Amino acid sequence: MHDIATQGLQFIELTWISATFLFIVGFIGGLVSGFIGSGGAFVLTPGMMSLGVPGTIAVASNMCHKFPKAMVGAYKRWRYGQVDVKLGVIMAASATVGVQIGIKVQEFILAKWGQAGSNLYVSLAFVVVLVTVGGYVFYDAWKIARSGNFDQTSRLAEWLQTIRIPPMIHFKTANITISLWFTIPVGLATGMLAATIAVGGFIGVPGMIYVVGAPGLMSSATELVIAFLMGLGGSIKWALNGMIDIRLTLIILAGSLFGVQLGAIGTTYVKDHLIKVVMGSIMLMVAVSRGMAIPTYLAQLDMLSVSKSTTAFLMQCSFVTMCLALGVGALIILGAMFKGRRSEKMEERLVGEQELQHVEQHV
Amino acid sequence: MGQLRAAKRKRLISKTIIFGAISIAMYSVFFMNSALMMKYFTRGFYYAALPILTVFAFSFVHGSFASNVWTLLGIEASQKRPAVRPTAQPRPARRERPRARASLNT
Repeated sequence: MHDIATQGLQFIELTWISATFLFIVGFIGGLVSGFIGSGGAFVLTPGMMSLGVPGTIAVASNMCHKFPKAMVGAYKRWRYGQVDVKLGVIMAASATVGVQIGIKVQEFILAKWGQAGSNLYVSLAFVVVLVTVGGYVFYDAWKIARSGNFDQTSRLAEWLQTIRIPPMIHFKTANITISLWFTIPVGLATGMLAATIAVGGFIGVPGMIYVVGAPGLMSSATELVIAFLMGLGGSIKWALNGMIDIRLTLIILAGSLFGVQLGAIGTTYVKDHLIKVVMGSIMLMVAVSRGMAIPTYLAQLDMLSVSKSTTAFLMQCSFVTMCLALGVGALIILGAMFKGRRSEKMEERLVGEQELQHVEQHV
Repeated sequence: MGQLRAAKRKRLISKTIIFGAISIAMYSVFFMNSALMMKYFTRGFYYAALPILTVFAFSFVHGSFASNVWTLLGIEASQKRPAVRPTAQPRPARRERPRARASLNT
């Protein structure tokens, strides 16, 4: 029997404060995930660790809440006609391979430069990927919002769709026909990023938008299918080793199942480009947060001399900025949803009044 | 019309109460016996099925409860969904209709 629990793994004592904290973060993380298809995990893992949960148990428990949350979100958005299941399954298959490559890279870095080197690599990956991709996503969203145009297929995706390398795959819901060979790199990169920073969607969603050519709303919804399939596989692996603290998982799930459905409802009130606005904002803020952690890891590798109080302060600032990123994302979503609902209700009232006037005139 | 809406709302309230009660019961049973649960749930190997099946069960019950709560609060998906990028739909295949033709042999 593989009884790791008896081998000295520490499962924390739960208090009302920690349970409330996990419930709230679960709710906000769920809201963001339901809207942009990913996110939340990057705050939950360090959040759990700040409560004293060991890193591996935090990752395992987080992953175990992620896949049922993604399943509920994907189902909800599938009902709104936003999910391309075929695209999600193909992306998830290649992302699974990407995760294995990402783990190998991590193992290589850990063996060569130790824990500090590995942390530095993760933070650098965060900053480089999030600034580049997040910056472009944000710029694109700003461009669309300013011009008032409809969101259009990127030139790269249009060009890739004209290259006919078999097997060509047609994605019915997204209404795209593209070679399988162009979807594989997006899936691989998604998996690699998931293995490195635990949020593959930061590559997966922009990849589906700009490389495959799927609309933003559909990409974020399809990302939930990928998160479900990858999360299920990962959770089984962690469960086989007895690493999941089911108490933490269930508390987070209690909040996130409310959040993910609210986020999914929110997508029906907004324009396509708002997905990009939320995603770009969160990515850029998380990049700043991880950037603040870099001096600490450089100091641990003796590449920079910084006092311990400074590094402790920077790490605290990093965590606060990360929470802020999630909060800002949630506020944009709720604000847009509120605005959308209000204008829809006003429109309904106006139509009702016009109909009444029309009837009165005829009477 | 009003009666139909009231009946629908009544049904929704009962559904919310039922799912809510089941959800609270499940959470209570679980956390009152959390030490026992943790003992078995962290054993790994065959016992790995326990956490996976548990989250599926909780997500069904609690997920349904959460969905009903939002509906009850009037927070529902927009009836007028935003258009996902407009794309040209392929035309349905047309079959040539046979036509009667008359010709004169002169």
